[in-house]
Amino acid sequence: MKNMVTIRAFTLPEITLAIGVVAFGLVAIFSILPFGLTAQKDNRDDTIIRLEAEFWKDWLLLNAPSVEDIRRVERVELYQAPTGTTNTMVRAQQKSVFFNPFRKIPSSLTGAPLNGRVLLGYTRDSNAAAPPDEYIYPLNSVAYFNAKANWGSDVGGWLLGPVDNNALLVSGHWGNFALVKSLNGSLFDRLYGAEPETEIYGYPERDFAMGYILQVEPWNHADGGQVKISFYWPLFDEAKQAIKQNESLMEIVRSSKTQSPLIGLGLTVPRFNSKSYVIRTPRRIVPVTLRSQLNLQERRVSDYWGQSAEGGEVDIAQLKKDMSLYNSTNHFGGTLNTSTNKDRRIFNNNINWGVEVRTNDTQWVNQSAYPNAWVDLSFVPSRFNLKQRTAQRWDIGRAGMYLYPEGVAHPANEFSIAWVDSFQRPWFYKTLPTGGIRILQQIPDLPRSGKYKLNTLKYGQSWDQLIGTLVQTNAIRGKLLEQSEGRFYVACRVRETTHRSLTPLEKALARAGVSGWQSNEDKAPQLWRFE
Amino acid sequence: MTSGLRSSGRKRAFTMVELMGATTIAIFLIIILYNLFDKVQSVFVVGQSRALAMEDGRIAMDLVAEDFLLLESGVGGERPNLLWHEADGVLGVSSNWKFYMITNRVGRVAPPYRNFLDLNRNMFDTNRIARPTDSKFDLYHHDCSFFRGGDYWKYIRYKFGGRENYRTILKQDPARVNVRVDEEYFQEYIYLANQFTAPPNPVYPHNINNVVIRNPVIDQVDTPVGALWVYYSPDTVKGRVLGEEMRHQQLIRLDSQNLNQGGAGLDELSAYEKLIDGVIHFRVRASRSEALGVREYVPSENPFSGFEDVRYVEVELAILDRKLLKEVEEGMEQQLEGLPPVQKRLRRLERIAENLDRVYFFKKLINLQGGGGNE
Repeated sequence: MKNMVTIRAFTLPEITLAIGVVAFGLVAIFSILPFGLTAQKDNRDDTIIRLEAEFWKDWLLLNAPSVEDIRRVERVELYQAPTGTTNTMVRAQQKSVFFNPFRKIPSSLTGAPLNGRVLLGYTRDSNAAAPPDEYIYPLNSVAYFNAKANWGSDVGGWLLGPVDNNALLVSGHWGNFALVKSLNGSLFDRLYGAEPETEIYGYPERDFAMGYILQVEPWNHADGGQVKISFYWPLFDEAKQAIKQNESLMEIVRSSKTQSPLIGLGLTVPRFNSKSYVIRTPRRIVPVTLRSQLNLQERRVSDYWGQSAEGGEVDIAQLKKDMSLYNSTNHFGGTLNTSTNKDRRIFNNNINWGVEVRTNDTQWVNQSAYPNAWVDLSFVPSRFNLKQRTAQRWDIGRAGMYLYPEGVAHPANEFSIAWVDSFQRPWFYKTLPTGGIRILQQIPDLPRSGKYKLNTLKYGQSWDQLIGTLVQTNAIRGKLLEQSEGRFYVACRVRETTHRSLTPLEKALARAGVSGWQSNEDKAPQLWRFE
Repeated sequence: MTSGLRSSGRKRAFTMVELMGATTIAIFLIIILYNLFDKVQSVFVVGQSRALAMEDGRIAMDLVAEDFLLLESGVGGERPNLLWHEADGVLGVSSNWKFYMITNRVGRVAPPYRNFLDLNRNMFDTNRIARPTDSKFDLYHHDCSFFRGGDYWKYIRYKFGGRENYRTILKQDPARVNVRVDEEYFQEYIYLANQFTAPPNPVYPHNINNVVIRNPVIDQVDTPVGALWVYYSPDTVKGRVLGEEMRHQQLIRLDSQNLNQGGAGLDELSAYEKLIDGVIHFRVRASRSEALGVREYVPSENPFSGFEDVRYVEVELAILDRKLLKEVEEGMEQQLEGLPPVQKRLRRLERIAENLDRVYFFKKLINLQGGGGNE
């Protein structure tokens, strides 16, 4: 064996082992890469969420000011405790859902087409099995217009609704939820995440835009109000699928937290990233004062400072001057173009009554025959200022005023204007001893002819008396004005919403045939604010 | 002795074929690994660039918010508490353009229409498809100042300006065109383009155009990208802060005079500091009441004079990430050579519109009434 050749080489096990070690190393390296990339994305998302949190904090503390970005809220869901809840393990039940009105959802919850009308939301009562009340409005209705105009204010008011049940507060299974496309972030997300304003078209990139579920948990404690806001993101495919199938946001969050399947859909939402912030303030959370909670006279006067900030000073002397008595023989007091501003008088033939306009020294024509009827208005139609209320000037609706025909005794006859129709004809109302309201189209005791006055004040009422009622709270509303050292300040912002009950007066008007009232959303939730 | 293999009489080495095979495999592996590394590296750089942009934007917004939070009313008599400024100079532009930069967008970017599909018809139909209204992003270049209270008082001015210099000069554009945009008719100077769909149509641009430059101003500037500049007066007491505003104005005047006389301006850029680079949008709006929306005001309509408080301020900022900034600025220089400045600006805006995922938007609502703490 002298010439025996010894060949030294790696054996197959050695090579296999070496390859194994290298492969193991490579796999380890490659498996780390996604973590690095995910960490970058997570950092970006964290930054965005922090910016979003700052926005929501200031927006809620400011009591939902008018900000166009609230159109990025796609859906709001509110919950309530099941009747008689004392068990801290119980979860809140879904009460109301509101959809972004700009979306124009064209079908009802059952999928039935609405044919020119849109679904704005729905409310369930405590009987979860009963069909919910759906809020459906025609696209061209004033109520729908107002729902869009008040969407921001409504969202803020709903989200601030405090928990009213201690068991739920303890359980933590409650809150008001919103589905939001983020305001901050890449411009791609901002533009592609924009509200599509229709369900008809597809916006394929929209799902890629960053969005999140916002949970707001407000409650009042002994020292003031507190709001916890939590963010859940990203919206995984499972979450998007569930949202598209109208699964509740609370259940989606629960499924993600507990890793249990969604009842009904059966899928489990992966764990969301989440972040929570707590806002504490000495200001308590109180119900919003709605315009519909004011009587017509209060509405008219409060419209005068309607756009002022809370705490802003109201010049009462100027208010009295601006809302001074109107005299039909001094139409607009000569402040407007006198060539088109003609004097007025009432006529009454015991069948109909109306307004006549003096076209020259001796000639009076019926309002309907007056050529400038739509320039030089007699009674301004109420519909004109349903959409947008500015300070109540003479050229804006007359509802809430009192008619004083010359020669008629008061207070037996107090003609309170409830509504002015599109023919510039006022509808009057009378409060009955029973508390009911009667609408009067043909008013008694009206003279056959004569001039008239319009006044913001009731017969025998003084401005001091009226202002005195505004600085007081009553059973229905809070203070409208604050008085301090002889000066007056706006006590709270009076808000408007489509989602509310109709007032008795509105119901009476609707019964009398005045059209255009919104649905009676008796079960709609209250709006809330920081006082 | 170079090989681990050896025989007793003669050295054995790898054959040429073996070596070539090994080299080929090695090269193949190196190429794969390089590609992988390159991909990872570029993803990392993009991610890093985004992270930096987010960080820069967040810091800038924090600083802006901190200053606005201490905005004080009633300092300068009838001097508005928050003042939006016109451009630094008005050259050959009619007087009604003076406040152009305050109330008008200077441009717009939007995704192309074809990105919004009609599911019913499964086709692109510009006549039927409504692009979501806020999917169009209007660009503003604001310049505003206010007094900051607190322990020490300051006069503060935030201004969108060029990347190298804070100045923004209005100048009439000789190549102006009048066009119809989005159902509105503007007797203004508008440039439109959309390289994603079709050549620009100046008559009915609402069908195709997703990039708009709309102004008669800054036509000597060849880019829509600028920087956010800030001027801080020295700390002072309340009684002297109006004087600081005058001192600032004097500095600006001196700078202008120096420039107009052929100089390079003052050495210190009139004490402006560049807060953040790569900005395409800076907008400040304010409101005096929760019931009113926010807006910007020309001086004659400014409601925030005397003791009329600003209730809340909304600040918006949009910035490019550094990589995109480089691509849009230096990267396109050669490609745009010879084009007039306004065309260069337009083409650059187009490039930005193609990379919306690399442009970052920040919005802050600044509650000047306080009212809560947070944790």
